[in-house]
Amino acid sequence: MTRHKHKKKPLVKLRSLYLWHRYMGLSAALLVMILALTGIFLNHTEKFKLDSQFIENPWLLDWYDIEPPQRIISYVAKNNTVSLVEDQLYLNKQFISGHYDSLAGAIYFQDMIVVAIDKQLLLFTTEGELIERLIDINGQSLTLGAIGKIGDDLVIIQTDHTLLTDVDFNHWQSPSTQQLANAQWSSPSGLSIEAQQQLTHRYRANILTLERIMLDLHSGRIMGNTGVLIMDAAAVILLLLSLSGIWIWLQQRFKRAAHRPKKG
Amino acid sequence: MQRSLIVVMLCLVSTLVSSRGVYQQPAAFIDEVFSNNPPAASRIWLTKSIKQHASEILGHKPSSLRIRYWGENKQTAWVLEEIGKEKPITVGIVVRDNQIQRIKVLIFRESRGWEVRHDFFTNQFKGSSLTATQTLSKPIDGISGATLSVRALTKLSRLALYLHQQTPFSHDSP
Repeated sequence: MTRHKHKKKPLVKLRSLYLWHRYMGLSAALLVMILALTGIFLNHTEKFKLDSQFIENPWLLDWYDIEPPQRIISYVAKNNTVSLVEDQLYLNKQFISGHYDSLAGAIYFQDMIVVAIDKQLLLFTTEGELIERLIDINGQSLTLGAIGKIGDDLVIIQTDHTLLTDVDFNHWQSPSTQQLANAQWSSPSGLSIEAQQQLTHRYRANILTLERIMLDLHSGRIMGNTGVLIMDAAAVILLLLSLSGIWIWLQQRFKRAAHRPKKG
Repeated sequence: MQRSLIVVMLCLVSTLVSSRGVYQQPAAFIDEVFSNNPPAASRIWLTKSIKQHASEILGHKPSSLRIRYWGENKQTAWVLEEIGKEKPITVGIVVRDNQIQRIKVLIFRESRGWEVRHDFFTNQFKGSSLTATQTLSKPIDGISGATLSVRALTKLSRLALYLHQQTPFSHDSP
């Protein structure tokens, strides 16, 4: 009887270890799958273009506390609306890449939309294609305060002083008093509620990248500090799984060796 | 020991802080290239064919429909931009006789890869021309940790050489 008990004890232990191993594996399975999948994606960020794909899902944007913009400034240039939404620039509904600070105005000039923003003039076709980005005025980098036109042939801008140029945008000079009096300056324009809502949606949908989501899923930060602890726990369970797996394998190996008939 | 560690840290921080910024204004670069007497700026429109070649060189569509340059005799100067990882690097390139004569990083906005502004790197481009397959005729040694910036400068060099060929200044004096 005593001998029988002695024989059964290791088996019970091994079965118990098996059960632990199984339950640990089951409880960590989902998290390990998330870790593995997000890890693969993050290893190939460039290939999957994770940093240039933006999340539009309102629930996720709310989850990340991405607020609606506080500032929308718009100018209308012959049926084309140029808007600065926080630091994002839009020509009608089209997002213009880059981050901007101050929109000084926009005009329709010689079949182009000319946008004065920060220290540059952006020239667009009416279809929204960027023709050219002018980063200097007479060789100087100047902050633009306003833009307008004189008739259909001259563009006038306000920096520290007033300057005008023609369609070549090469040479800038001071305007005469007469020209200054004839200048039509671009002025801000109000937007309809619907247009504001569209821009707000586009603004929010241009902030959160898929890469950010993958990183936060991988680290657990998507669920805040609790998520990080859960992922830590998953990592510890993964470690224990490896150890219990090795232990079970060794136990079985020793058991088989013990049961193997001795030669000779 | 502690003091020397602080000095080393300060040096590192100051290097990182100074690595981003404007090294030379584009207009000052053009003035320097043409000895303070630059010609009027010319523009090249990216026609369908030019745009296609430029796209192949850059690996993406060019960001604008026309590009400004300054040309005189057989020399053209370009101020071009390309994104390294996240932000554009502004580069001044001078092409003469269809070879790169000078390349200089004018504005660097990225947080890494600023080593490409050093002469030891940019000097490698001197004398490079464009091969039939639109690659540079000379090999360019990379810099570890600045792979994307190196790639951006290499692309811009190839683009400047290609665009130079499309201008009247690539042949005899216009």
